[in-house]
Amino acid sequence: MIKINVAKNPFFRNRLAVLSGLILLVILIIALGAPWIAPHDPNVQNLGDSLAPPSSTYWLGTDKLGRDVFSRLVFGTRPTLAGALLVVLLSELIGVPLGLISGYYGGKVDQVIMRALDLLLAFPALLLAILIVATFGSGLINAAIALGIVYVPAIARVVRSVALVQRQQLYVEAARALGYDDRRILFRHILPNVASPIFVQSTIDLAYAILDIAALSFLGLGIQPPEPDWGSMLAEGKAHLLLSPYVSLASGAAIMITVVAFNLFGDGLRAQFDPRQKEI
Amino acid sequence: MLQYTIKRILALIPILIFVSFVTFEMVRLTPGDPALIMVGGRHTTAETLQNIRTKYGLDRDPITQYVMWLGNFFRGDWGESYRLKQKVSALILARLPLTLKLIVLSTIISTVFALVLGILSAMYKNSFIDYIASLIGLVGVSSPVFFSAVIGVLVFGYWLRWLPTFGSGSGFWDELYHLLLPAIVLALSMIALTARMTRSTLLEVFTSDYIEAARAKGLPESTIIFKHALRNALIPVLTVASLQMGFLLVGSVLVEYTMGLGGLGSLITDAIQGRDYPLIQSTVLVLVVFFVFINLLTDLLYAFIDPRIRYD
Repeated sequence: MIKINVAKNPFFRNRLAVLSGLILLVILIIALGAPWIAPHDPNVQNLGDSLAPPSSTYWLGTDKLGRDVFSRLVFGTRPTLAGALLVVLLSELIGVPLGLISGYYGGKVDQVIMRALDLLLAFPALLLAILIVATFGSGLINAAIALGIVYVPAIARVVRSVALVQRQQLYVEAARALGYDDRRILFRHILPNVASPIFVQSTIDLAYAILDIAALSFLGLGIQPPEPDWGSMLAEGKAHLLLSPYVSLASGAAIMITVVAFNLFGDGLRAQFDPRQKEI
Repeated sequence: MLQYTIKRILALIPILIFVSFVTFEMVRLTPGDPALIMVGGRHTTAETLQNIRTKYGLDRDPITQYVMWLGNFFRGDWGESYRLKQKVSALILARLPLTLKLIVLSTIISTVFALVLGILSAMYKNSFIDYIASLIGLVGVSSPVFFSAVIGVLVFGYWLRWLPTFGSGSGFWDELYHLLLPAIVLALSMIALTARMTRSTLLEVFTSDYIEAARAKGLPESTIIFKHALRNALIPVLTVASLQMGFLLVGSVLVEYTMGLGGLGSLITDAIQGRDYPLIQSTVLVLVVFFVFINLLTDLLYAFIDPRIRYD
């Protein structure tokens, strides 16, 4: 591969990455500032205005119980983002140490850890999450914990593959020669070098986590009504899709835009951190 | 190759035992007394409940119950659904064909779409077409399948009235017609990866000597792409496509639930909502077995093509 188009593609990609970063920032601001941004109380029912079309009072119309869809959408950013963040943090909390240990020590330890993670991979991710939530009860926290467990192998594998390379670097040998113990080498020396792939993987995991959290809510296994949430709004709206499609369309579009933004942002980051990506 | 295949199949045994054990015990941990659920909330005596527990082995310890269940499973006795009062094996067999058809149809649709998009983006690299193709892929992978389903129902079912949106039809062609919209919806999420794979492998092949030679001979571009380049690019592409079939299994659960199709997916969501233990266990296990076997076949295919993998 000699004919590399460096000038055009990365520029385009980065511009998109910057744009998606801005979109994510806006979504974050909406989540934090929800009480000030939403024009109505998301849970106040106004049965006289059931399934109203968009108007100057209700920007995106109302749902079956006459609640303002726009306000529910604004408040719905909170459980979606918080849930997805919890999923990724949890998977990192378990997956990063496992990957580091596996890659650094290699041999038997590596085999045992990787076989155990393979067992987890044998389950289709969402199916395992559905099973866990069905067992331990519905709710955002349970859904996030379930998905967090399911996401461990992905992050552990990424960390392991980088740690495998890092352990042969000179600075690790130097640290060993200085008599530092393994824990210090792993977490103080190797970990900072694994940070950027972890960051890239996390961004992409966030995109999937939002989709999966929404799927669980859609199935009624995530956050429980009447709390506003994108996935459950889509499910509510589906029931009266023909009368008023706005509820489903608005919440679905919100999920999609957020996931697109996370995906593009992750792609941009990967192109930055991994020069090989630029070639293709 | 035979040795590798045997090794890989043997490696499946602990995985399947683990998966079935976890599923079994997890389902057991679910709150709610299955004996009470079986009588369906009707007024009963403690004696009746005890009889039910004895009959289904619910009063034994969890490990014994698992071993009992596993033994029965291999004898083909998958138990009886608590709520539907039918044999679990019969229910699964009745629902399985629809899910399989949905998955196969969807794999075909997504692979064809992805190949077309991938070839176009490789031919017109970094052009407008390339960006549009990757945009389609990105939107497909970022839209939750249940949202794509809702949009599909709205647009093709009610506004354009092109496709049926509910039920599964009768007869082969009618069924296929009914499955078209769900299959397209499911396929959307799978296009991105295969298209990207097609594009990058094609671009790689384009730089090889034999393509240069074909170009030097003055062959038309279409011959070069379809007769020379695509043939070599197809291997990794088909691998990705078959690997994705496993993920379609999960997607099918959501699509069937959203579009009211009576396949394995909706069987599982119904079973979970009704706490139908035997049904949940066997359905999850059947889905996982499919998932694991599709992955195995993909790996074997890969090892068959690329011998280096066998010695890893």
